[in-house]
Amino acid sequence: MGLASVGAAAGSVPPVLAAGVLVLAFPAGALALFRWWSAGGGEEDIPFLGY
Amino acid sequence: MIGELIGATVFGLLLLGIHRKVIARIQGRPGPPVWQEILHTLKFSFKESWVPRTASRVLFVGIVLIAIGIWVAAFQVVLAGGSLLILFGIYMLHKIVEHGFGLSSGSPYGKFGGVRSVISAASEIPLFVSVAGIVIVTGSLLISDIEAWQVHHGPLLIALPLAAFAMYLVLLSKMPWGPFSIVESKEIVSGYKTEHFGIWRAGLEVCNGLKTFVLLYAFIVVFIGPLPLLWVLALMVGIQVSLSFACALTPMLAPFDSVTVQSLVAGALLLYFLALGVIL
Repeated sequence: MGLASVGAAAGSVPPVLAAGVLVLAFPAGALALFRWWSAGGGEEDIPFLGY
Repeated sequence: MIGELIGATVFGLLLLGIHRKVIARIQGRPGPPVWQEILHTLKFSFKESWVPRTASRVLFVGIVLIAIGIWVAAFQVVLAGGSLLILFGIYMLHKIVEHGFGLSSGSPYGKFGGVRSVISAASEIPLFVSVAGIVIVTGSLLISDIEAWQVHHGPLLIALPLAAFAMYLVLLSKMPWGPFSIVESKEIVSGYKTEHFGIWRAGLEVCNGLKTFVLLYAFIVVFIGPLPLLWVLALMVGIQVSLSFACALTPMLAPFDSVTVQSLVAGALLLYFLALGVIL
């Protein structure tokens, strides 16, 4: 994302390409970041009762 | 670009915090601090996350990525002065995304929220009428051309007040706790986002922040014209406060009434623009 942004700002990467990279990478990057710092998953402490 | 994207997301969340604060003050409550939605996003991102057993795992996670992705695309379109049709296509796509959120979880509340999202797609009808008026007057669908037109002729808000009103109605329809917020009303818990918790909800909050920023930014660019960034941000806060007043002072409509009101407004505007098209 950073490379695409810097590249677009410098004119070495076409803006459309940089925008495409951001559309794909920003959501994945945000979720990956959240995943990295979120609490570790374990067994559910509330049994599933069904709907 | 990445810096602008993060800045827009944070500012959009701040606007949603202002929204909550204004509504609370009107209702005589102290309300949360204006940065509450930013804290909310961080809070959810720290929490343990899971996927419900009844969920379609791929859609449950994928829809969060798509939700953020489409508003990143919308942000790029507005910044680049791209076509209004692409931008408004993304507005429509958001309804499908909400539907996907609701259906992916397998929860009945989510499903109800998803179904209501489809019904409330009627809120987009004034949008298309608004676009018709803009094309009649400016002769272009490109945001950059519309900005250039306004530099020479003044704000579209003055030339086309009813189109601006239609767009304002669309903004109102996308505000939480508003008259048209049938997709997440309390009788269906949190509607389409009921089961998305932890990092999935944090992702949804990122999407909401970006969506709020893009909606208000697009309104200013299209109807008021190109302005210095500080002016744009100040105007965004002003418009947000006016929307919050409308949300606080208007009861939530029933789903049927919500669709009827917006369809009637769209019909009236369509007649106006047809007449305008004939006159011009």
